[in-house]
Amino acid sequence: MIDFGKYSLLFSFILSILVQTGLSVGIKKRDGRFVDMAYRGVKVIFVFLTLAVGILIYAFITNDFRIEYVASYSEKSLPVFYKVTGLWAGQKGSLLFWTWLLSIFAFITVRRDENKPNSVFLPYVLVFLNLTMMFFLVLVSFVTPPFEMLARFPADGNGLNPLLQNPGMVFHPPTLYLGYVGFTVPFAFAMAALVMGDLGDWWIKKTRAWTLFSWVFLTLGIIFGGWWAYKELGWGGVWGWDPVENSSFMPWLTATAFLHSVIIQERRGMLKIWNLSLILLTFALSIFGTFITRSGIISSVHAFGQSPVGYVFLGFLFIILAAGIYLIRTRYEKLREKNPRIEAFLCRESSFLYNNIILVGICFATFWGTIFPLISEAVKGVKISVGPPFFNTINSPLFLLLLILMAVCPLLGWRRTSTKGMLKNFLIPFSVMAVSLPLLYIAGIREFMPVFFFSFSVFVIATVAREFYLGTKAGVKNSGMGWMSSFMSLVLRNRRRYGGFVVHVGMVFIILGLAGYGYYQYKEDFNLKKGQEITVKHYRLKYIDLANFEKWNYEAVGSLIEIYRSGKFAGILRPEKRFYKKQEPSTEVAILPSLAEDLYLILGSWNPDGSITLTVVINPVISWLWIGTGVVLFGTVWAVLPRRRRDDEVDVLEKDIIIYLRGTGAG
Amino acid sequence: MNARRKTVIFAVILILSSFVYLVFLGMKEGSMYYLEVREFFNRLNELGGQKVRINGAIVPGSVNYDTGSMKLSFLLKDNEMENSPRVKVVYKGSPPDLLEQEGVTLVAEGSYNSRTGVFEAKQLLVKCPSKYEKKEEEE
Repeated sequence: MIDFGKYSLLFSFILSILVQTGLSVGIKKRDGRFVDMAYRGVKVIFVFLTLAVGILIYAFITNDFRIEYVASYSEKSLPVFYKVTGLWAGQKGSLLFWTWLLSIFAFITVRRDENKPNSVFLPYVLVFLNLTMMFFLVLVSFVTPPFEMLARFPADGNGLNPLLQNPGMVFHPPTLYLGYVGFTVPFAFAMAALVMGDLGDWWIKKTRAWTLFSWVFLTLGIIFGGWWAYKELGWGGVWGWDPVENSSFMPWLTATAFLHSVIIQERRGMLKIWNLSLILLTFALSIFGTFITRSGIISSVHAFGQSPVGYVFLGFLFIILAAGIYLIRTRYEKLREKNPRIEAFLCRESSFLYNNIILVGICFATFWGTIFPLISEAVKGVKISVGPPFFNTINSPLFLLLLILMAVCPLLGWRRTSTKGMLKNFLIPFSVMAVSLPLLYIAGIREFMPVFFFSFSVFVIATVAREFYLGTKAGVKNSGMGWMSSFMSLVLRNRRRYGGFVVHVGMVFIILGLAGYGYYQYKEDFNLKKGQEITVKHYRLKYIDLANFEKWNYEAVGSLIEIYRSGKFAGILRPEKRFYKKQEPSTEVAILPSLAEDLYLILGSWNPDGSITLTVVINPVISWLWIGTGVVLFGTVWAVLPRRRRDDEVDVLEKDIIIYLRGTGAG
Repeated sequence: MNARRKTVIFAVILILSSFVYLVFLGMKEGSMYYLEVREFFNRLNELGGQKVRINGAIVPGSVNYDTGSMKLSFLLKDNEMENSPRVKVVYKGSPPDLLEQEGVTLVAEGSYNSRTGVFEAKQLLVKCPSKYEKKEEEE
């Protein structure tokens, strides 16, 4: 059984070599038979990797501790749910999971286009997908084999780190991997476009769904990570600008920039080189992130097991960058042809451009702060660590600018905006913002930066509301529909645009949640005797008792705290310290969430006389971070859902390809 | 055309210089030495009251926590050097989870008070290299 898993990996690796050969020969000789063989090979790889994954999960469920990986991350008494997710609990399994996802995506890419008449691009795309595949298959077959056996197998496994026994942590890795792996597909299409020398926007249209799909999973993965940190790490925050966190944030930034700049290429044919570079950068940064986290080269709070795998990723990163830059350089002249210019400082196009500059700026600043300890050690011989104040100082004003752009961009016209039209467009959203200022003042938001953040959030929402209103009104006027049906047809027809607006609203909620806790977090330690009461802002906390209890794999000490909010009983919280049988002790925080604020309690320590140290944290509006994530997810799904009718865009695409075929004489 | 190019160049310079200024400001705010205990002692004189991070191992048995005042204190020694000098670290707040586990290394962020000879930490980060391998999922 285990051998079968091992051999299916090895077999997949051999197959991937054959696929590569088939593709190369097929492309060179223009022989469809070789290409068809390669397509079949891609599908068989998917089948074998699915088998391998199935066998590993089966080994987890049946407690097969002969396998080193299973023994390290599972134990008999672990709930089945965590056994299944043990697949991605450690490095070896994660890489297998990653490879498997890649094989699924390659499979889907083939299935979508193999039988279409105009799929000349498919072999080229597969060359790049399969090369990435080969890299990962080398890893799982030879460098980090997940089916490695133990010389002497134990009666029970080591168990799973308690910090990982949390739903946030269970979903964080797979969502993040889906995002990372997903970007392989647009990357492969972009490289294919470069190799073919066909630099229209067909590759962008083809991969629009992939890009959005990967982006939303990357977003979810990052937020799940923050959610997990908030619930499990017990420091009251969601984000600490740690190198490991940064490494997932950087590809997100370039991906977000890419999502926006492709719109400009589609509408105006501009920014071709920029778009290719962004997708290359996004893919490279996701590999770079894996290098940072796996090599342990930069000291991180997350303290990973250091392993040589990181350097293998570094090598792969150099290959990708070298190939990408070479391809862009050799096609540079062709890319520059017919590039129209941006005509005005304040127009829709230029606001997209500013958005891109800022996103890449944030990415660069984050990159700089992340690798600075390495630079300073190499240059000055002393490590200098760069802490959160660095990132906050740079990134808060940049994020504010992004927020302002979100507010203003839809109010600007394409190409150029007349001053008069602009004033008219700005009137209502600006007034709404102006009205919000005194309200913010009353709510206690009076400092410079927070006032900007909160008031422009209002501005964005007003702008989006205006867009929905104007669109609906136009429908009523033009086709004589009722308001409701006009609204429905608006949002159903123009999904990408209105889905995008919904995503913006979600982003505003996320930014609000982060700003609220970033600027207005309250945190204090208290020493409490049994029965003692304290008042914290409008909360009254009464420490009742200390209790011991036992669960299947841990014993815990918990303190019962009665909470009264504005005089009314709001519940009992029980922050705990858990002592696991096989793992380190960990702190379990207790949270009383609400839309306005979270009350967050951490049990620090306790004494024989029953007194405790309790840390009380109040995080204003942090719930909106999670709500906003839901809104972003909803908006993206809306934008990406396939339309029932084949629309014009697909026709345009095929025309592009036909033109290409005529041009090369291949068709 | 020429005026246009001038505006573009001006805008680029403006954006770049404000970005560089932001980075500069951020580095001033957020960067600090990250020192092993032995390096910390080598640089003791030049540090003044500057904020630094020091990384070291806790001297077994030196941890002391007073619940009443919520003051935590312990001695930190170098991770590698034998018979390394020790620095006393004080911290206000409850001790981190894994503080007294074997093989724990710790990063303390704060500043050295040359009058009292004590390192006053504002933040403690506990690392447990051998055991935390299983936490490598935080991609």
